[in-house]
Amino acid sequence: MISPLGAVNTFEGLSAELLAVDVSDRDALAQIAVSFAEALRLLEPDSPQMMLATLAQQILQHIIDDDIAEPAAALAHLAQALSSITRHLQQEDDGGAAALETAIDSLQKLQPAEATAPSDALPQRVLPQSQQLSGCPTDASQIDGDQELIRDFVAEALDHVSAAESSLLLLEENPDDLEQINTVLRAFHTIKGASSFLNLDLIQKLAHLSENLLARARDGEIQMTGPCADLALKSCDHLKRMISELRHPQDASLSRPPDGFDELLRQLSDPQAFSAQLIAAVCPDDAASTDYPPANDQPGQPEPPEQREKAASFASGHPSGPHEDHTVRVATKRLDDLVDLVGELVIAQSMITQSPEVQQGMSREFLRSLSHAGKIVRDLQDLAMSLRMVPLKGMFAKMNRLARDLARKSGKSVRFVTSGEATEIDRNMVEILTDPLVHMIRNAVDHGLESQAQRIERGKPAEGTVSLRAYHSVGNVVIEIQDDGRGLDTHRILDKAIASGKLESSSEPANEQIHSLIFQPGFSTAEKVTEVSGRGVGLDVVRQNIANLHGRVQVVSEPGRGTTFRLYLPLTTAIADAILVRVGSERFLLPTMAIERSFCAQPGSISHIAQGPEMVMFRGELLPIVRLHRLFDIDGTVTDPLCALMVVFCGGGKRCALMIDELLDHRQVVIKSLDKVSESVSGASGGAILGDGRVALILDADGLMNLALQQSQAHPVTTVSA
Amino acid sequence: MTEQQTQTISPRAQQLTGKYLSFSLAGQEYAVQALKVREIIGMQDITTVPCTPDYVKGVINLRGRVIPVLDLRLKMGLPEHEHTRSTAIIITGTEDTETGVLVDAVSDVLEVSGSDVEDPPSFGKGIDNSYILGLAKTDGQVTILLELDGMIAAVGLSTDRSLLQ
Repeated sequence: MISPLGAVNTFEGLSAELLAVDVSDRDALAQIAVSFAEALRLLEPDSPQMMLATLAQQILQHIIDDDIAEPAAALAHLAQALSSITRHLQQEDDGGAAALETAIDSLQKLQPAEATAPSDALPQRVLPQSQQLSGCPTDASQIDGDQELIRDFVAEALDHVSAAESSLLLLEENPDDLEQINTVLRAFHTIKGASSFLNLDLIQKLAHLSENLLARARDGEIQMTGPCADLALKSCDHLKRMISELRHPQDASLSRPPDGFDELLRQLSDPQAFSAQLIAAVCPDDAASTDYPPANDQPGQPEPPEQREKAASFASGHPSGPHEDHTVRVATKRLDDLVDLVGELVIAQSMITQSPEVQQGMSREFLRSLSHAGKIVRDLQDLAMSLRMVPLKGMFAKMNRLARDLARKSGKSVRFVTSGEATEIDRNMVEILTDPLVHMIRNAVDHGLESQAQRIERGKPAEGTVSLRAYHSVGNVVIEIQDDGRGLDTHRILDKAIASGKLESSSEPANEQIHSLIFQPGFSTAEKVTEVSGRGVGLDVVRQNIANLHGRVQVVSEPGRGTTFRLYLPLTTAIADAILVRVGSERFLLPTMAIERSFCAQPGSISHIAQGPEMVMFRGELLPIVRLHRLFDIDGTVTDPLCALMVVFCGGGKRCALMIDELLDHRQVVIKSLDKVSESVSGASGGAILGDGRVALILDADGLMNLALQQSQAHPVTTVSA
Repeated sequence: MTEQQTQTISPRAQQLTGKYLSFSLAGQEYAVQALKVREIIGMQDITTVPCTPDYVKGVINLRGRVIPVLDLRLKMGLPEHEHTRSTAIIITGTEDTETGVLVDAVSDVLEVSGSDVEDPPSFGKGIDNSYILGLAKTDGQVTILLELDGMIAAVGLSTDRSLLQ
């Protein structure tokens, strides 16, 4: 027997929503349709209420599909019908039944002519539909195609669930710990996001409802203790089980909700009813609670241990799936230490090989062992370095998919452009970056871009553009998400911030300050919480994750032109392919990517332009000469440009001819950030440790040219002034 | 009387009491709190970094980590000195803010009692003594107690823009 209280509350809520909703707001209507399908489960099959409700659902669908004459009036009728359902549920008397019948009649009149079906056919029509909406449409073929995405999702989502679990446990002891609530919220939110673009509707639904519960806890409506904590933990258990099951798509269990799932969904989606039960549980003397004694309060109560058992037996039952990758997660710190130590090993090894004692008169046997050891050390170094680096390609492909799906969901036409997929970043960074990127792409498509009609109205191309770029820049890996949408509404952000007490009403912050507000936990200017976004959790995830990477986020927004998010990520873990060059006694590394070619200047190709810098003509192009020895004050170098070697060095859209003495070697180096030395070392993007243990600077063309420019302005080139 | 004296200086004395690592710089003994010292290494090859103040000697490789090195002589306005066998680099700071400090020679570990420390005298205008914790009298010798953290943080090691202008 299903408790009617939940149903009453749900239908009352739906009725209110229908009255409040704007007919033209398709998204909101679709959202209500989903809740409606959920609510149908609360009714007894074959009851008159069920008949009315299924009819109402169809009408709602017609309104959404826009094939009803007077949608606004139809909505009002629907709302009325739903309230008659609640009346009937509450009273169970004949008067209610009569009202029900009138409501059925009025609704049937609303049905468009072609869609009017005999009433006995209704239940059959409704069943598949309700499954479609609330059930799981993940067909096997799609799962196969996305196997890799799913595998990533499983690993990440399971991590999130366990994080949520441990935070929930902490919360039970200290229910006011906002940081923990936010952690759980973030976990549910991220799972929701990822599952929604993988079309895992069951998981998404559950995550969404769990998030709702936590959001209430954050807003102080409920406390995450006792039954509420049980409920949240139960959601975690279910999520964990459902996510683990994804590894074995051949299992039929995937396509149907697991046992106890409906029960849980109902409890979650019925927060009012559930909190009423809560009150009942907390104060059993309350008169209102007499109808619902605590014993019946949590029908799912005995289930959790059983489910945990199931989950456990499930996990042990499939020790290794057919496609399962065995991966170990290792702390970044250890990996960093490993790479550093291996680097040291390489240096130590080369010191042994180059020491005079070894060079002279060692036995052939010894030298062979030595070179063997050297090879192993080099292999080890390659391995250690490769352990961490992956190109962004995989993640970009994921984002592409996400953007497409989101565009389709929101009915916008979106062009998604990516560049710099080959940029390599740390494997661990990819993991931390995925969530922020998902949220930012989601924001760009959902909030950033206007609807097609609005775009045309504003004279923009109907198709919105979202671009995702990655590149190296002055000591950072930069990931840029840009949309050409409406831009941030600074006024609204400011109003909201003042309203929520995050800012003094008298303060007049600068634009950047206002923009940084959007990263605050719980901050959202969205008027309604939708399936996609609006709860103010997303950008908090971005902030948190980027901070964990010691990176920073920059927001540039121009009203009407669009918004650009730039993630600056540190180079500490990046590896560069570089060429070692010599200038006097100093050695420098030039990133191979930045070098076009090297050449020797021909007599007559060098010119000074008045007070300006020296230029060299190479293949019909005039390049400014950057004399490294002058820039860095190095003695004992070749000073005649005709005798020195020129390297065409480019970066930041500029090119120059870098004057050096000699090209030495090509090697892969671990880039060490110079953060500790200086906030920004002009001309150098980082340092690297060479074979002899010394540090060499990695030069950066853009910075170098700025430096040269500044220097030539301060002290005009001597040859010119002389 | 003596008791009264100890009482008046007790909070500061408590803070200053402890083990210090002393080193010499242009013939004068200085000391830093031993707890702040991570390790002492010999002279290394230092790679100069462009556009930094002259007292930032450059960077060294400390077991795979690139850390900056300051020349304390230059920082304190003393003349630069040729590096000898006893020249040492004191590594200080936390794991994230490791910094090397170049000194003439490392001398000893001193046990300093707070009551033996006198406040730094005022040298008049223009001389910054804010990084001097105090003057410790030990064995008839005066050792200047330095506060390296503050000194390094104030330096900020940031690019000296004035060099570019």
